[in-house]
Amino acid sequence: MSAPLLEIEDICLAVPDGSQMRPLLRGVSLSIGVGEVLSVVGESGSGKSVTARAVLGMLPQGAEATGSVRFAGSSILDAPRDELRSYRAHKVAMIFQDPRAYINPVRRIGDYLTEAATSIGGMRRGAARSRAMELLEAALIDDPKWVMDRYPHELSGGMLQRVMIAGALMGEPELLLADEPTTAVDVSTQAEVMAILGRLREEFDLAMMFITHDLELAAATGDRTAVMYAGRIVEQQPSTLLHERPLHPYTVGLLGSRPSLEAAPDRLLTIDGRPIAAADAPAGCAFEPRCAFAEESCRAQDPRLHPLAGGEVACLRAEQLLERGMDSRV
Amino acid sequence: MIALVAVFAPLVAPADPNAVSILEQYQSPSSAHLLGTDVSGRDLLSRLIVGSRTALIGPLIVVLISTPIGVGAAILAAWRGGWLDTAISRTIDVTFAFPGLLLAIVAAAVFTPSLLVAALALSISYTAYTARVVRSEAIRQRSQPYVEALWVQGQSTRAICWQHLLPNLMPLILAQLTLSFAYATVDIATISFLGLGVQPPTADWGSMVAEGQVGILEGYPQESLYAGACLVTLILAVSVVGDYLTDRAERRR
Amino acid sequence: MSDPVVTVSELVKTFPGVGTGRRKAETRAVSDVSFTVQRGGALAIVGESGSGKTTVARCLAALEAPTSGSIEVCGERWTGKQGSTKARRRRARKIQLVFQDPYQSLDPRQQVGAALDEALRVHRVRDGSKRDDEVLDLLERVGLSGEVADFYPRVLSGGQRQRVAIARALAAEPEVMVFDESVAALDVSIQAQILNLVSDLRESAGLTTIFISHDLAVVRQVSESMIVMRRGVVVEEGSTIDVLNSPADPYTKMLIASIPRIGWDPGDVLRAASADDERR
Repeated sequence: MSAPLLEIEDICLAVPDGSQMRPLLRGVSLSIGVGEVLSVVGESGSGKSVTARAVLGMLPQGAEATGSVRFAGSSILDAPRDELRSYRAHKVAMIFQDPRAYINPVRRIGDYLTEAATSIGGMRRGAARSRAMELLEAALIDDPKWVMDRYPHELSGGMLQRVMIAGALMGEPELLLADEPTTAVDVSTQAEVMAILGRLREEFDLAMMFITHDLELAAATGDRTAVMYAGRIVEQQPSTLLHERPLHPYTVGLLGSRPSLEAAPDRLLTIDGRPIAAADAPAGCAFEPRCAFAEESCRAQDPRLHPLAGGEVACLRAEQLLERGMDSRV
Repeated sequence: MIALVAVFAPLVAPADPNAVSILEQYQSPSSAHLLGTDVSGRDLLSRLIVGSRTALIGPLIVVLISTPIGVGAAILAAWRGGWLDTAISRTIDVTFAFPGLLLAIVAAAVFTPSLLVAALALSISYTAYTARVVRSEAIRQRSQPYVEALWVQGQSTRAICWQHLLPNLMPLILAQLTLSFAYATVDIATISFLGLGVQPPTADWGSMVAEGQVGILEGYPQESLYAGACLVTLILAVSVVGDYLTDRAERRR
Repeated sequence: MSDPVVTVSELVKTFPGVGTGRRKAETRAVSDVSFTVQRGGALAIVGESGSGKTTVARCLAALEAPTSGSIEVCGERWTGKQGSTKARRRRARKIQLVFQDPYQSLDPRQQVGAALDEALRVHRVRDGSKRDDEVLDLLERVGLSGEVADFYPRVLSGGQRQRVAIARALAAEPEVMVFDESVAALDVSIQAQILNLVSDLRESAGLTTIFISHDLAVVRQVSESMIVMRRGVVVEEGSTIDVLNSPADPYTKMLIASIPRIGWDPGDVLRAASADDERR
């Protein structure tokens, strides 16, 4: 197998909070190969969006970071400014949950799409416009010319999301970071957006990091799924395997919490307590206070992500639990 | 601090602020007159100290009248909507078209010029100002789910307005109140400067600036300078206190 | 035995349009919706944005006045607007609404205990010391500890706030509770806790529930019967299991196909939708 496109190694990130540093990420490691899709799942405060921004080299104000982000072998976090600019213009692109917040409301769609390509990419205006129209067409927009001359408020949310996707592809990136692009839209629009993303990925051989809180969507989209909790990846497996045989108690809890279409149990499995942020993580395992399988040692020792049964897991008892199964609660 | 000085002004003032002494005209600061004297030989420090009373009382009247009426009208307009809102909004607009200062000057012309008349006249336009700002926020708050939730609960309209809407408007009202106070201070001083507010010989910072004009031409700028500096300090102080109150109210959310 | 608690017949709600002159057209949010819910039943109203499902909920809670049609709850018939405090209180004791976003449905400047106390005072308990006990009792029923009473909503998590909102609704001892997307804004693990709470309350208090949601899996979990709405019209109704297992309407089929799962091909949904559009 060739070297991965994106390699994140043990990245820790903290931002100043008064006189102290407030951790956001506590050692995240992951990799994405050329053309591969990695889904990242987590609840609020798990650090999934921060991770994506770190890939872009966009760190919060005053943040301290350790670890490394490497794209096609070159380091991102300490790259000089102009290198970072061309990296963002041509290698990676990001799409967001709320397109309305990211598209300038007083400018036409055409201007939004061509602006970066002409000013940073050095493209001629005419060439940029025709490329933008091609991309809109690829994003299944029937009348690209009409859309180019519209203002954002004249388009529906689903339509704008397509525009943002087209905009992200203007610089011919190799990696697309998608931060909950379908969370704010209806299920049928979600299906549309996902179908378009799937098509474009194939057409342009894009790798993707797909961030979501929805385990089913993660599994449907990603070759592999990584589960984040309190600023760290706690489990990573091929998506199908993750659903059939989760390795981490947190993943088991998440899968059990989600009602399903097939059956309605009397009570859903729940995880006690509430999700915590990286800053509130206790010594030892961050999930220990909510874990039904926690032992004395879990409180003392901080588990590291290690390979197990075709995946990776950060749980001290993972081997034991894999043997015994986690169906019945202790 | 300024408020304390104002309350105890007669006790603190080293000399009679209105005692005229032609002989002591335009004296430099000395042990007898710490800040010197004005055109009529009156003790400047004493006049400044006593003047703080009118400087505070004028805007205080404006704020005490305009805030309750403005807030009340705003909440009423926002809650009832319909023709009442239209009526109140139009009244606000009409009042807005008429500058407060002009109104105060007209009032001074019609009635006898005095601090009270000036303050009352200013209150009208400040009421409109407060009502306008608070109304738009009240309309926003009104459509918040927490208000709807109380409505569904069957809570009475009055309780929703006064026990829920009002506390949530408080940060804005406080900010508006201090802003009004600062502007009213300047307006009252302006009116006094024009000779239409506080009447001589009563000491007032605004009229002192005006009286001091004569001195500036003759090379004795102290009176205008000191009074002006006092005004600036007062306005700064009010703004700082206002910021603090707003911050505190905001933090309770 | 048939014992309908909620009967909605031919409900229509239109909103005046925005804009001026000829462009000003009325929006018909709900047209001709009828349904009944039996005592102790659990109905789900499903639809996407613009389907009118939230408008139905708001009409039930008297936040909107129906343009025409009637709503009958526990034998009382309501047609027009319910403005007076007295009328609203009567209604609140029959039917309560839990909002979508627990970050906005609680007064940010009121402590949890005071909010519950207020609801109790409005509805029945006049005696102050008795109310204190009842506040603790309400908190316990929604799985919160008594110390929460002294907290302001801002220090509570989303799940805790939604519990408080449910406790406040329970204070009126209603027969019917309407949940308007009440778990949509919550994290998955918290969602499950609230869904379990809702089914516990149904059992213990004999509540009749109407759950408004876009999420079919949630609907499956909390309802016995369901109606599917699209553009203000009911396109399908029936028992939840029947509708989900063998949907009759193409729109319902499309909704079900839209739910992501392993091996899901979102392209199928697109093709189904465009085929559906051609047929219409």
